[in-house]
Amino acid sequence: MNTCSYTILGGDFDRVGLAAGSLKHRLKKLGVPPDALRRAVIAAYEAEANIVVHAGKGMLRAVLEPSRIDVEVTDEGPGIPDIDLAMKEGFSTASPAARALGFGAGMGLPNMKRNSGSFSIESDLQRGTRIRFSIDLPRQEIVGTLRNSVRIAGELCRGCMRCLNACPTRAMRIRPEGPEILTHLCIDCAACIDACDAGAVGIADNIDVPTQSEHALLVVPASFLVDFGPVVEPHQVLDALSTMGFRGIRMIEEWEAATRQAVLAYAREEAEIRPVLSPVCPAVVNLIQMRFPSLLPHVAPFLSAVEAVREDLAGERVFLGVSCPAQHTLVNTGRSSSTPVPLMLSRLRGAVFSAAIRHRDTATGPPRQPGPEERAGPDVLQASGLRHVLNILDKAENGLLADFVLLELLACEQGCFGSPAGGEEPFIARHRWQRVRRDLVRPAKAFRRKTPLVARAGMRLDDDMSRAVEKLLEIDRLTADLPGKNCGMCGAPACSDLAEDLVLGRAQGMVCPHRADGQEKSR
Amino acid sequence: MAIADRLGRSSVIGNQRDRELVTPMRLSDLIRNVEARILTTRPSRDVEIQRVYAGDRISDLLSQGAAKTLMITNLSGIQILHVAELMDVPAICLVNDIAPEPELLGVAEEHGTVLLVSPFGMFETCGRLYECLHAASEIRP
Repeated sequence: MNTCSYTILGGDFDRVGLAAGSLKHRLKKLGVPPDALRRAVIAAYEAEANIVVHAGKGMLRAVLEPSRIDVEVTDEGPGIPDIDLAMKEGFSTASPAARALGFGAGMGLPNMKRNSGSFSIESDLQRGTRIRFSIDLPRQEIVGTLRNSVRIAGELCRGCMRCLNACPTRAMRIRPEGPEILTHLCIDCAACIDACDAGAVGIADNIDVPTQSEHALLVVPASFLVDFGPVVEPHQVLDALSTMGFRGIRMIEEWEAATRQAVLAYAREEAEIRPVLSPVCPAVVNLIQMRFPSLLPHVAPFLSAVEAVREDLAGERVFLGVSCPAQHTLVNTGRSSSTPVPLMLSRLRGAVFSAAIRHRDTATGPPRQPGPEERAGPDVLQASGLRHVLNILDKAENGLLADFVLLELLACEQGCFGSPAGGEEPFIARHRWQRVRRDLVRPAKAFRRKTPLVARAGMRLDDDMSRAVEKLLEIDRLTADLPGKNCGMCGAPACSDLAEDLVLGRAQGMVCPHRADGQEKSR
Repeated sequence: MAIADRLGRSSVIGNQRDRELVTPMRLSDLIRNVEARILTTRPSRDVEIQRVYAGDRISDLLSQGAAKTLMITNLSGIQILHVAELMDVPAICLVNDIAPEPELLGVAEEHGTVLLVSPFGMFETCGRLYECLHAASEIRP
């Protein structure tokens, strides 16, 4: 059933637009992009208004095809004597009553034609009028890599459901055999990892600890340097790392600082759309691609720090310490012998700590002067923590942040210092880093993004549009049937998610505990 | 086609052509200058306006309606609210101190569309709004 049809009654002026409204709602849910949606709604409204103004009764049918929407509008009556004349802008035969309400501008048919790809009209003075038009749908971009780097150890899960509520995109499910992530919804942030006390959710980790013989360059995040409390200072961590056989040690913050600077200059001098969104946190970029695609033109066209490292050090042997799943995915996707190898620094922690303690007396650097706080200016909004990031993106989408030039949003609290890969309290970690930042950061390069970011298709119910429509109806019906408590006890974060899981056949063993009859078990 | 194209894109926020026209303003700031009254309860400081369109033909309101657009019209039938909802128009301003039917208010409230009424006629209402929007966009860099 890829068709929806609406009956339209002539003379019922108060109800003009209700069919177009239902169609809009339906198309929106199916993920029809905004421009095509707008065209379809305008053409459908005009067709509907024509029936109400001129005919006794009519019907609007929309057929959804993968590449277009076909609409057929038929009425019973009176027919159009001269179609060429009717197609002329401004020509109308509407009654004075209709005109008083604003109809009868003589723009209906021209508006339909203007907004549709193909348009045809036939009319018979005995049988009535039939209009057919279609709206072309752009090919939906499917992002090539929907891989993510959150990994699950189901046997450790205690079923506390914290991850279920922590996930900002409702990608998490708790199955009887453990948590599962719907990868097409996952933005690779660390919210679930942060929420899990049992250690059942973590960052992908797939290589062995590098051995001394490899003579590679190591790139570490600053959070690792401040992860050893007051006992081992950042420069001592660097010294310890350099005794472990690496050719050199650099910090991701070097590229991050360069990117920040370039983005700020871009925002202040070059950007045509404000506020500019900083691409510095890859999880936030993923979130924008999925939940806020209308903000994509706001994202400054630069690579994130991790991508910049990949670009800058291409061809060299590099280990890159990653702090979150999003960074891991960026390093790991399309990996070859000439790109950096992602490394979980927690694996080096023990070795670094003992090396640092051993060299303590010989390697004490000069006392550190506290550097100035890294502040960008009054026109830059810096915020971190997913809850705040979501609110801010929401406001940005509604155009309520026009007083800022640049928004720098970070998924983890205090940015990478709050990543679950590190052990220190985020505020403490960041503060310690601020003390030494100026002494340790070397200049690096920022890189422009060559291919623009594209929106990410979040939910595809079915490749076949007709089956997708059927499934959507079924999901709506089931959602209405469920109690709406959104308690999460079935293992899905909300009732509508359970309904979707049931219809799409991925609800293995998930049952609503509030429904005694257990109807959905049989589905 | 050109008009349709332009409007098609204006539903995307931060559209460049629209931005050249005016800088967005809060509806609450905008209406202070028109002395318009708000008839619905949705707070007008939550609504941002980037362009204004005035017209009395449904087809025009439909094809010009978009997000962040304030619609000004002499029409006060329920149809204008259906059009506003379809095209994501956040606010409608009636003119000439017209008293809308209670039914219109109810539907506006239900849809979350802000309904305003200006004490002035169409000409003066538009003039004041035009001045206000353009003055605001010149202040900002």
